[in-house]
Amino acid sequence: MILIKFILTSLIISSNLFAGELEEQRKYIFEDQSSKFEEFISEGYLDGLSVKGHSTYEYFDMYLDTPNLELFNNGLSLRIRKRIFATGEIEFGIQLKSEMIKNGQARMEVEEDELNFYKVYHNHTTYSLQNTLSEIFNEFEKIRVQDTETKVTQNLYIMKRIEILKSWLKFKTNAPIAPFQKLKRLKIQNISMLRPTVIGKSIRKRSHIFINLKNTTEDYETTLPSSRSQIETPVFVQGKNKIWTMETSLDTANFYDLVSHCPKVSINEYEVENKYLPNSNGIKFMENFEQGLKESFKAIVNLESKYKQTINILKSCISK
Amino acid sequence: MKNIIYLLLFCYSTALLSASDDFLILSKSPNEVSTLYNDSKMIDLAKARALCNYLTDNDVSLSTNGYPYPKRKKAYKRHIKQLCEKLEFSAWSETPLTQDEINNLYKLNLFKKSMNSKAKSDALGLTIKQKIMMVLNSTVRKNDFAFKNKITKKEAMNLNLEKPIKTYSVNELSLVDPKDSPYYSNLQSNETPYKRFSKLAKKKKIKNNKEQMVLIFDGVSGSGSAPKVKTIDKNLDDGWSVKWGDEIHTDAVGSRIFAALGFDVDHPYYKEKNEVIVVFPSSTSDGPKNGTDMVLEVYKNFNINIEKFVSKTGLINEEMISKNKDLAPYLGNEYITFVECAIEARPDRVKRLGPIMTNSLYNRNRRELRGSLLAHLWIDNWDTRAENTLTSNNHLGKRVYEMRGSFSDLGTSLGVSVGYLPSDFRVGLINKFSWDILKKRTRGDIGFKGKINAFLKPYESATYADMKWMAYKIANLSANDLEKILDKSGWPKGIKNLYFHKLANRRAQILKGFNIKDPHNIEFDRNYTYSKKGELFINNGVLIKDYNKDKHPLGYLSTKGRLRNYGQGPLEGATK
Repeated sequence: MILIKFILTSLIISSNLFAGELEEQRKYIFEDQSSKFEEFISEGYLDGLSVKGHSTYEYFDMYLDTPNLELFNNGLSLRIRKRIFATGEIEFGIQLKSEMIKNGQARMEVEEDELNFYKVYHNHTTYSLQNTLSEIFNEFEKIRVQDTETKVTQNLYIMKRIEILKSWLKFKTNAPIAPFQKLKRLKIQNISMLRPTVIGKSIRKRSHIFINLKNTTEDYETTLPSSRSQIETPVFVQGKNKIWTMETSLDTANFYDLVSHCPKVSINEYEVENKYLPNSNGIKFMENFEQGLKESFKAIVNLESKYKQTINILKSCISK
Repeated sequence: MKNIIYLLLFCYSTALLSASDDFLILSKSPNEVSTLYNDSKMIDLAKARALCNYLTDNDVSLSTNGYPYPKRKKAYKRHIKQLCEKLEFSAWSETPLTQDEINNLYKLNLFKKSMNSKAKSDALGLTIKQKIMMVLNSTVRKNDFAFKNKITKKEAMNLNLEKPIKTYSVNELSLVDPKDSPYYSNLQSNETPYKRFSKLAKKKKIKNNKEQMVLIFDGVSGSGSAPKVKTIDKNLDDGWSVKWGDEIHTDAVGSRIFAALGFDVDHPYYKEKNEVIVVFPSSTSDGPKNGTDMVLEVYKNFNINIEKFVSKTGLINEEMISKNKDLAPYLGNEYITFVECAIEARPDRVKRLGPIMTNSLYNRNRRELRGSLLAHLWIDNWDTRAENTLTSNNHLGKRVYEMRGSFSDLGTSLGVSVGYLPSDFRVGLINKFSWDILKKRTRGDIGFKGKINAFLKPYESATYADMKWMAYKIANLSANDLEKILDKSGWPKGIKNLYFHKLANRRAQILKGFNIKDPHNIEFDRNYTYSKKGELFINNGVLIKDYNKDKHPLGYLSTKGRLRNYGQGPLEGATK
């Protein structure tokens, strides 16, 4: 276990190995999340930085782990996500992430962002992976709306489909699927025993943080344009007077365990991601923004992923 | 008995092969493919997964041939995973591989070979050995294009023949088309050949604006020997390479001719004065910020002075925007326009990998690749290295992908002068483009004049039947096709007409050599003479006076090429 943690930490620190899979990000929680903060992320201004909300969407997550929580114990989380955009567009993906070791530390992110062509051969019958996932999430939403204290594990419709999903996980752990490829590189044991551990729903509100050169503080007036190309810059923050510095997301989530019969876990989390290039200069904006969040909204730095927070809470229930 | 077994085997393979319209299968599978499944067509999942993981795992940093692995784009990995999933499911459900799935195994191996080849060439560049081979191939082996009029033991293996090969005459065999595949797409009987280029462009969502095109500067290219810069289309998704030099006419013609013959190609477009405006974005922190910087950077990278190609530089103003609304977002930005240039599409939907014409996977047994030798000889294309072919992963929309093979650089053609002391080459020299292509014709055998710098395996393996097959494709091109293609060249009228006569003459010789009745009877004049405003430019088929260098900075007579800065002086103020 210590060896695995050492490998993981070394790999995360050695950013070359995760080229293209790292993002500079910070996370915060609030003791008391006010409506004032909700307004701020919709349209606001903080110490020279402008804020503009650009989208809201909901998503469903199902976290996977081995029966003895190998991923959790190694500071990793593996989730299957269904995103529903405001346009009605739906996306499925499976993503492996590492825990943040210190504030601002880049996290490893390895994603398989297309699941629509995968099939499952379970008990001599062929299923579409994406349809199976849809059925699980749809049923979960149905029972969640009906009864917020529901025990998902008691729903046979969902549990039957989870068996189909477990067949897929067992067969596919050596297949060319990015998160599984990475888990093998990290020498995580028993990945063929992966199974759904918790399921949840989140609402995500996303915002751009940018410098509006016509409305900023003296400190930022001489900021050089980001070297990020036009193609990679969203239309809203393009142009001579705007410098895109960060993108943020406020998540409000509820998770339900899929193994025991524990009560739901509620989590609020605000994530800030650097978008300014070069990265080293972007850190300055992140630090200033963090200071403002602490002073104006009593934000508290949070290093733990939603999965880690959930399992930590559920552990006390399971151990009872 | 033996014959009956062969017949049964033949019928079985024919039935299987007919099931697929994406036809990579040969009558015998190369080892790389056949070792991935057993006699019962059950896949070896461990081996197939090893291949799939090698192609898609981000942590694979070295190619199997030991070079840094090129970056793999998302779309490429998605496509491979889609192909692999079909194989995975066949293993999981314990069903034999279908022909379509065996096709997928070919594609995976093609992707691997192509990426490995790119890894090697990226790491080593043009090696001394390659340079020596290019010289030897262009000199010692330059006359080696002779073909015996008979069926050999090594005819193409992708012809899906309906009867035993021994029962075919050479002519009958030459009439058999290969099935459509990533390498080649047969033209439909009602298809107009010259329109194929636009059809391919449309499929790749390439939009060549007829008005002044606004392109956003994205850096000076570091590859190849012809001066070029990278730009982005105003839609911010697609890229364009802007080029100058001697290939701006020839590439446009060579690519369109190959497309008309059934091959996939790159998409170069000749652009006249001020038809392209390159705008410098305000957010660029590194690299050239205006036209002068760009010309200097091009000189530093290529040792070629493109000053004479520059028409105007300056800041975009309201008047310019009133004439071209696409410039509106760039008021006050720096720009540069040109006397002439070529732009080559780099559409977002097409992800470029390595070469397709690797000397592996039985490429040498494919008719279309063997036959392409005659197309190269017809247009006198010199640089036939595998690096000038391309495997690409094309997005067809809604995350549906296809693998395509194309000839990606056909500009070193239509009259090439190659020098070794000093080392240099120049293309598009009308007087170097010979009237004659046929070398000899005795007892039905045939030989061609020409020189190529790389004898790839398919070219070495080409037979009389393969060459005659291509001759039929060349015969299919009418005078209208040639005219329409040459209209896109940007050559001045006289030169364009002279090329028409020379291409038509060479085409007629090819058809005569193979005893093919010309379906179009294109007329040509070996004594073509052209004068304008009382000045004689072309006399009896020879260009004798060069054109206005204000309009065409390099002219068409000097043999000084890119390795000698086209005979120009150094760029003033350049510090190398």
